[in-house]
Amino acid sequence: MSLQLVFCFSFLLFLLGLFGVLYRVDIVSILISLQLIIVSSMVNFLSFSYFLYQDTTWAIVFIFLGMVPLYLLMFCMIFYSYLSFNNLSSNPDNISVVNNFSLFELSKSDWWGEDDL
Amino acid sequence: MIFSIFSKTNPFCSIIVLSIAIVIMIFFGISKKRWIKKFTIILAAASLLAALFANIYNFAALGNFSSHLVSFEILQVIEITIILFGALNILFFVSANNIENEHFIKILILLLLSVCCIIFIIISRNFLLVFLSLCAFLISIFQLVTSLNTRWGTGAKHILRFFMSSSLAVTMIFFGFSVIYGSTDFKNFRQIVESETLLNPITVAGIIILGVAIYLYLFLFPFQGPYLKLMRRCEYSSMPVVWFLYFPAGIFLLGKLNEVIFYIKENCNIYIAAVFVTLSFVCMVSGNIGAVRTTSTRRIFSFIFLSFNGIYLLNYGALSAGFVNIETVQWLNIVNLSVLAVSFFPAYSIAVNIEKGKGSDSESGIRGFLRSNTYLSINLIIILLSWFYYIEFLVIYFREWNLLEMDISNLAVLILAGISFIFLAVNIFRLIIIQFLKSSKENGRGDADDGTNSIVFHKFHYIYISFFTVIVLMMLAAAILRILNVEIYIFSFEITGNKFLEYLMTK
Repeated sequence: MSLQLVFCFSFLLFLLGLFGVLYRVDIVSILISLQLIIVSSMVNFLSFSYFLYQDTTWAIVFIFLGMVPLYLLMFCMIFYSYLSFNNLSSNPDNISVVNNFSLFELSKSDWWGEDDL
Repeated sequence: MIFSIFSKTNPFCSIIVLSIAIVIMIFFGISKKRWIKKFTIILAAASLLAALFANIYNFAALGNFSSHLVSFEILQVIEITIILFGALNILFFVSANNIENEHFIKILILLLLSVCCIIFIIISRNFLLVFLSLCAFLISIFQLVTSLNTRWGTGAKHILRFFMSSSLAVTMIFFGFSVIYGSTDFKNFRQIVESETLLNPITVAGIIILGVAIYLYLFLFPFQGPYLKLMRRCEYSSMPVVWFLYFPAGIFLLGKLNEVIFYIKENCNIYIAAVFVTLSFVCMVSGNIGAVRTTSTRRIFSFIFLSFNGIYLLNYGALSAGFVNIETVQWLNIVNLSVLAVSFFPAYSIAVNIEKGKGSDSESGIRGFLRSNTYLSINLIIILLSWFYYIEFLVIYFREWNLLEMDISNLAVLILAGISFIFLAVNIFRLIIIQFLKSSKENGRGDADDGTNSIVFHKFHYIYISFFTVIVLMMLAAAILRILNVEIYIFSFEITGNKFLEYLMTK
């Protein structure tokens, strides 16, 4: 196993995550895609540390301290979405919110916003 | 005694002052009594003012501070001052619109917590601290915005979209740091620039990923959708929170790349100039076209704010094209943020009052405002005219250049900046002219648009808006004197100098 191979793998994971965030239209898939990017960063830190810098503790510290607030942020958003749209079975509007949630859309309303709500 | 405390807590004085206020406010967190809420407002305001004083006094007494984690120089002092000033105004908006909210004291705690986090972002230089403070800031600002909107109801989906986009940006920053660490083994940007490993393609890839992440974080075109949707639906005080806490964090992150951008510019000038100028042109023109198209005052302000964010990119474009140096770019960025603060707060406070009175954010609310409230309307016109400060940027860019000596990148900056300026002028004149028009009631159409006459502004609003008008007029005078090369000194301190920041740095 070489560093180049590991780096290519992590970059592939990153692109996969980015594609998922931009393409998928439900909250769960977007969160999973974000996880892929985090995992790819983790692979980067560990592989560079292992192959080039003799297992420095700095990379481990960065991974640990970096992932805790990132997961906390994601947890906050999951909790907020649960509080806002938890009544999935009885309210069809909430189902549409959870399943129709693309971050960036190429629509006129998304580009210019809208005047009438 | 105070000096010894400051010397031991340097450069975290302002954070410590705010933390003390947070700890005191925690004891009142669940109280719903009105007098306790008023006490916490006073406490929060006093802590912000004390932090402002501590920040400036600390630097004046002890000078620069630098370690492997933080860097506290004149630029950081000015940035913290602007943030604390913005936070004081946000406190005014939050207090005016949310004092009846049962979570009011918790909202104030979250506000102070966000300010602490953004101060950490400003002073941090180590990758780990930058990233941690950014994550902590995003968590606190997310909680602040959601707490402000608990009774609003319509914006939950859009709050989630907005902060999911921000999370994507932060995750990309995490990936970018992993790539940069892997290719260099350095822990801050200065080390990278000094070692000249920046020409390594993997490092450049990491820098590009960071740049894209910051671009995404700032919701610049074409990623503006979640921002615009949220701004249209959120509670009144959420907008200043996003404008003057959320966006400045992105600007300061971009500022951390200053040295790197300058270094890359030295090696591939034409490409980086083309990128920055194109992006800034798209942001500024699209922002202003969006503002012209809409009839909602919230969206007009949101679009114009986005277009002003494009000016930061234009400054970097001007740097790459060789018009200005790195110190001038830092100075122009600070001027941009300061003018936005002194113009958007009063203008938005008038718009909010009209929206509350009419129940709608339609631009027809300010139609005939000059007749219904002449004093505030004149103030608003002066404040809107302050957006023409953009002319001064163009003067600074081009004053040492002869048109015949310009190359293609210089001409591109000149033409695109000029076109952007025309669109901005259209928006400013539109907002001014609409105040001169007769309202629907005066036109004989007694429909729902006649609410401006009945809107009552509190006495405090008059003082608040007049204060900002005076500041705008003073800035205008300083700008004119600067353009005319007139030097004015106060205590041997040149207040009209173009190289203000450089002057301070040499002190």
